Amino acid sequence: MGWSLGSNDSANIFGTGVGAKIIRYRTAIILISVFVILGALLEGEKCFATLGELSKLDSRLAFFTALAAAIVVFFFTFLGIPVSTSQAVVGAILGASLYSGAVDFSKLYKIVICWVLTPIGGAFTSFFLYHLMGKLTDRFLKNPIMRDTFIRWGLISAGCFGAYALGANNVANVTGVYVGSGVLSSFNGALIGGLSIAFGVLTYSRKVMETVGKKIVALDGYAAFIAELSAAVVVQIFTQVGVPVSTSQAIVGAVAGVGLVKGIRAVSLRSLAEIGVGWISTPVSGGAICYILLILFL
Amino acid sequence: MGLFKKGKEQEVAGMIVDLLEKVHQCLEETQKTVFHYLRGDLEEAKSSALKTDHIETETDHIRRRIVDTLYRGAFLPIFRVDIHNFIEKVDLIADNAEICCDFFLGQRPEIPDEFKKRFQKVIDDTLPMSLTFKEATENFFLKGNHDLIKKSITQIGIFESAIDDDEWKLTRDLFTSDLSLAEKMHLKRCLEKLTSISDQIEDTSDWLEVLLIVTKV
Repeated sequence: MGWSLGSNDSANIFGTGVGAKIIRYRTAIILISVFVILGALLEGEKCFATLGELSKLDSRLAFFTALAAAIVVFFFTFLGIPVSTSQAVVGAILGASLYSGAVDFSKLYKIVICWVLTPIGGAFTSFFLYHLMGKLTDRFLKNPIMRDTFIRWGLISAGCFGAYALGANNVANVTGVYVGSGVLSSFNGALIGGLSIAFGVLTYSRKVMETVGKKIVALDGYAAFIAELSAAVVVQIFTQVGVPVSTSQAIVGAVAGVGLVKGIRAVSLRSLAEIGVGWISTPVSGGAICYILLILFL
Repeated sequence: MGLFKKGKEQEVAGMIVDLLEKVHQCLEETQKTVFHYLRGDLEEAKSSALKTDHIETETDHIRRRIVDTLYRGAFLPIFRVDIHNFIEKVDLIADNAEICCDFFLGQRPEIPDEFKKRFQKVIDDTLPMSLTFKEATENFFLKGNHDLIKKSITQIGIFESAIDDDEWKLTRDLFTSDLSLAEKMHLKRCLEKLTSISDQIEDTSDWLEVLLIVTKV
């Protein structure tokens, strides 16, 4: 699960920078790995609690929950459908809880609200940051060389921040069920989760990063910087709330926010529809597969 | 400040300044070529034309180095293409100057005495235009004083209008003169070669304005 998450979601962080040849692929994956592990170790435990509250799972249920979520992520990725690991894991936990009869839907509303707010928050943040930082940039960075350097370093810094936010927020998707069931301590869960995400980043992220990079690089450098920064800010905010969210949906929302400023269609209706469908199909698939696995093997 | 250390961008900016200097030198030699030609001093005119040719070759080398550095990663990709287009336009100024010298020495237009000063004036008026463009572009890449650059672009437009006006009046006077139609047509072409330089400077200054716009959020 961690490997899959790392190989897919790293594209959201440095896809723009690598596509624009601002940062080398090798440097990008090293930076992402370092900051993902840092984020997981320093703030990862904040999201463990929310997944733990959702249901109390024993070690066997935790294993099948993680397996079901991994199958959903793999299957959706294989079909080329964007998938959120957070939604797959939450769905799988609910499936396991239904099986064990210990489901607590009262905790679910907070998670669902955060999922809906992720792309919306990304859009609002990038919309306002674009205006605010745009005024400052135009006022103080008139020399094209200084402006260019600022945007380059801005993209790299936002990427590092994004990697930190990914580690802090999404590590719970990888090892949260094991921490919740008591198989792993919070620290070990964060460490193993962070390392497995980093392993995915280091070994299998080039193709996705280059593909996403070419899509997002259509934005100018400043817009890409704002989109990356906004997505990272939003994901980090939800880490403080303790809810794992989708970094992909945060970046899609942020790109849409920049598009709104420029009056262009920077995001297709299809992308927005995919997010909406994903809110339902991913957790339902995760829950169904987990439930079926438990019936078959337990 | 470490963040703004010298890099490929600084290297490109330095080469653009060199390119502008060479283009201006190219125009100065073109002016001398026309001056000597109109005085009937063909040897000096040839010498200046040869210098123009050599300087134009140097501008080609600088342009290629700029393009090479640009596509090795200087500036963000979206800005890179605009700078590339701009550099090509700057180089065309030197190309037009060289073509102008070639025309004078290759086709030897016979310019009546009463028109000589007015032909000379066209190229003389192009020089301050080139200087203004050079200063504005240097300012853009090294300092970024947008107000001053906009003023310079406006000034270039005024220079160009004055040259256009002179061209129109000179064309009218040529075609109402007693010259043969062949001579009129030949002198008209000669005048077009001269004014092509100022036309190109104005066209390139429009691209400088595009660069100003794209650097703003």
